[in-house]
Amino acid sequence: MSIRVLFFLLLSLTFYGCSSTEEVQDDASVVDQGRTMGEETDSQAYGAGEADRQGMSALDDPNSPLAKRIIYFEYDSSEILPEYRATVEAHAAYLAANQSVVITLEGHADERGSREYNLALGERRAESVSRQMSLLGASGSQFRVVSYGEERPAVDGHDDYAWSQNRRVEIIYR
Amino acid sequence: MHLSWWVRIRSIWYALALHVIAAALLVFSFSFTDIIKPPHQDISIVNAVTVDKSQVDKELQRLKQEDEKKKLEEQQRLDELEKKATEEKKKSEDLKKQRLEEEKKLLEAKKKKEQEQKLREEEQKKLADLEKQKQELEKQKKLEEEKKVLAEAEQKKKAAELKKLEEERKKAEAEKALQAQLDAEAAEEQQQQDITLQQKIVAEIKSQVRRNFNQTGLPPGLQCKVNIRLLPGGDVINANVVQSSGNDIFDRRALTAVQKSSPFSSVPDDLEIFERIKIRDITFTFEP
Amino acid sequence: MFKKYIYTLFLIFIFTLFFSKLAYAIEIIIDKGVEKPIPVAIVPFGWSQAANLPPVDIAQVISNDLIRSGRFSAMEEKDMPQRPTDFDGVNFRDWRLLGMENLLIGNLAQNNQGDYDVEFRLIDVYKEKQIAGFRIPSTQVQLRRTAHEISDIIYEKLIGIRGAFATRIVYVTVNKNPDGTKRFALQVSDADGYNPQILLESNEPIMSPAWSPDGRSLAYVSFEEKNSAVYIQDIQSGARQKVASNRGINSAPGWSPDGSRLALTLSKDGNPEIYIFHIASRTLSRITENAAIDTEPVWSGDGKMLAFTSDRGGNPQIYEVPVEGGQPRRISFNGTYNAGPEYSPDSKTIAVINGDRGAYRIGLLNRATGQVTILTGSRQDESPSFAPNGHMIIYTTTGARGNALAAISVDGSVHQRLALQDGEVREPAWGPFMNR
Repeated sequence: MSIRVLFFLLLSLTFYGCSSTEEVQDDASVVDQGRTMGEETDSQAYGAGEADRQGMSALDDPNSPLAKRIIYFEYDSSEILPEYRATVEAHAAYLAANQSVVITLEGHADERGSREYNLALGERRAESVSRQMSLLGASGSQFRVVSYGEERPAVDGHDDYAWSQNRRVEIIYR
Repeated sequence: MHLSWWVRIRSIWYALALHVIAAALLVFSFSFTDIIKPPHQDISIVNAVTVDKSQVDKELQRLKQEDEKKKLEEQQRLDELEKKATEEKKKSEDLKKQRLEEEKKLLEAKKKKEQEQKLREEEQKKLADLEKQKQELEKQKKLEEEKKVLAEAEQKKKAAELKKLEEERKKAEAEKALQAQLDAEAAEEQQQQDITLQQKIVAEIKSQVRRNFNQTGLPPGLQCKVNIRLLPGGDVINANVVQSSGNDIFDRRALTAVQKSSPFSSVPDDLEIFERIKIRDITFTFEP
Repeated sequence: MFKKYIYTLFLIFIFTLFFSKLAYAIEIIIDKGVEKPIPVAIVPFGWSQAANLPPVDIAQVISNDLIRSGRFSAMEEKDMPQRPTDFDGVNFRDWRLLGMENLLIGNLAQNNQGDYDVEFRLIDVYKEKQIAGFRIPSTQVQLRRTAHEISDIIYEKLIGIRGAFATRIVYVTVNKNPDGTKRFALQVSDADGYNPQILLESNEPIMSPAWSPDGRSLAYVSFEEKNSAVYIQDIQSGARQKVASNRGINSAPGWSPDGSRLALTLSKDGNPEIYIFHIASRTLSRITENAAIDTEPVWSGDGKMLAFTSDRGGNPQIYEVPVEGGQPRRISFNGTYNAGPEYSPDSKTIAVINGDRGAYRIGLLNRATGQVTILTGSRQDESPSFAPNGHMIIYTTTGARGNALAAISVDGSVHQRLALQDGEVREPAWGPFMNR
């Protein structure tokens, strides 16, 4: 019980931390990413060249970072966690290298709370990934952002595991 | 012997005296007649019943003389005899005299004794009479006293009765007052009990009605009054909304709450208790 | 003896007269009652054709209605002491002995045209008086509805407000296809779950059904084109129009009270914002402009305000904004999560999903005080929707056993789980009163 309470407390703290700094973070990230844009663009260009060399096969390589196509989120958060940064960077590099490729970013939420709010939250998560990838060199026209909110859970269930699996952005290549 | 002689002589004397008295009586009776009768009365008329006085006197004189003569003769003879006797006696006089004296002494003693006896008897009789009289007196006195006592007792009794009556009256009054006080105290005590009982019953009625007052869906801020009449045993008769809340449903719920609570099981069956605790008329104010 | 008795009585009389603390007319204040179902007996209706079964067991429909409302306890037929069909046949004493307060008796008769006459009387058992009595002509198809209308009358006569039994509800069902994918359906049914009617079926999600004020149309969100889009559909004809299918999310339709406009959430301009869509002119006006999420707009009863959810303050809370636009004002402050606003019919309160320490419950936000009263007690309750009489809120509750529909009275006293049908039932929305 107390562990559970603690867990929720931690969750809320995380949530508080994120939301209270969110607007600032948005601006900060813009500045921050603007400053690092040159470096990122380099790596993006590098990545893109790599992608060109390897063609579409990189997408089919299960050992490629591109094989990872789901980014998970914390509760009520659209912040990309550090462990997913590499995945985002890899996809961004690929998109930058393949300007004709269009992906769909599908935002999702867990089932808790308002469905409409979750729909918006799913969109925000997808937009967060999209923005990050754009900053990493992908073009805005290469994204199709869709939110399903809580309507398409990856895992049916009403527990922490299901919820953690459902708070996600799926990167879909067509 | 001598005594009979002496007795004979005395009887003769008694006879003579009796004759004398009879004659005297005769004389005096005629005398009276004579005195009453006028002197010139015709003799012939009285001839048959009257005696010539002089003749009577003569006769009486003669009888007297004769008697005296006889007497004398007798005396003479007696004297002679006496003389003879004296002479005879003189010889043994001393003895005789002694004997006589002794006899006389005895007689006297006897006589004295008799007299004493008689005196004593008389005394005794007197004493007895006195005693009797005394007793009589005492008896009378006693009787009177008794009578008096009786009267007094009667009077006393009457007074006592009066007093008793008075006392009884007073006692009755006191008892009455006491009873009234006791009654009052009892009534007060009873009333205290009644108040307690009434409060208890009212509390039970209230909780019963509350349990049956269904507020489901009722808007707040309404108030209505329901008046009921109770029967002993708690049956509700005449339940009426006396002050409407303006909300028909609220009023109906209130009325139903009361009617559904009937009978109020806490209300006593006993009519006297029921009347005493004044539980007949109840007004409920519903103001949830 | 008798004299003494009189004397005693007199004394008592005097004492009670002068010293009595015994009240003559007792006054009892009933300051509190109970909240419990009102007992009612719905006697089986008389039926003119003994040879055939009646097409609808009207008494049963009514009983179920009343029981479902949570405010009545309807006596089972087998417990009834008698089954009178006219007033004179009622043995009031028998019913009172059973504590029965109200009685409904009636007759169903078929006329020469093949239609029906439903005649009924609602009777106060304690007063031994008729509370209401009507005759309702009805076609065979209308018979169930007629029964619901009788339920409405009973509700109104015994509770004090119009019943909401002769209404409909809309909801989304989710069932599994044979291949394991999900099948979504938008359905409308009577308030008791009977007569379900599928308006739309799709393998893509359907969301946020909303009744038009006249009850003839529904607005909803469908993902059938792989993105959210808002549609309006006429229930009767099935004809529909797409209202919004922009880039980003197109969601949360909310009807204006006059039915001429829809409030929407669109993120076509990069961020979820509140817009008003004018149905006739198909024009949009933007209401909010903020970097945060603004969504779930609903109209107040007077049509002047919009309430919506925004996390502009850091976490989702309820805000209000005038329909012509302006500075939104935050109105919810209890807890870290308030979303999904729904105005009550009188607009004095707003039902919300209140999240607190991981539990999501239905709460009532008092517009005047800002206080939220929590009505439910589960961990995951959503999608509150007021009955048109404002007495009940229908919502979904999700737990370890899955999802279910539930209803709760706005005073929290009555709580019902509704089993409409198999499968998952989502987003119930209670339709408006419908006049014939």
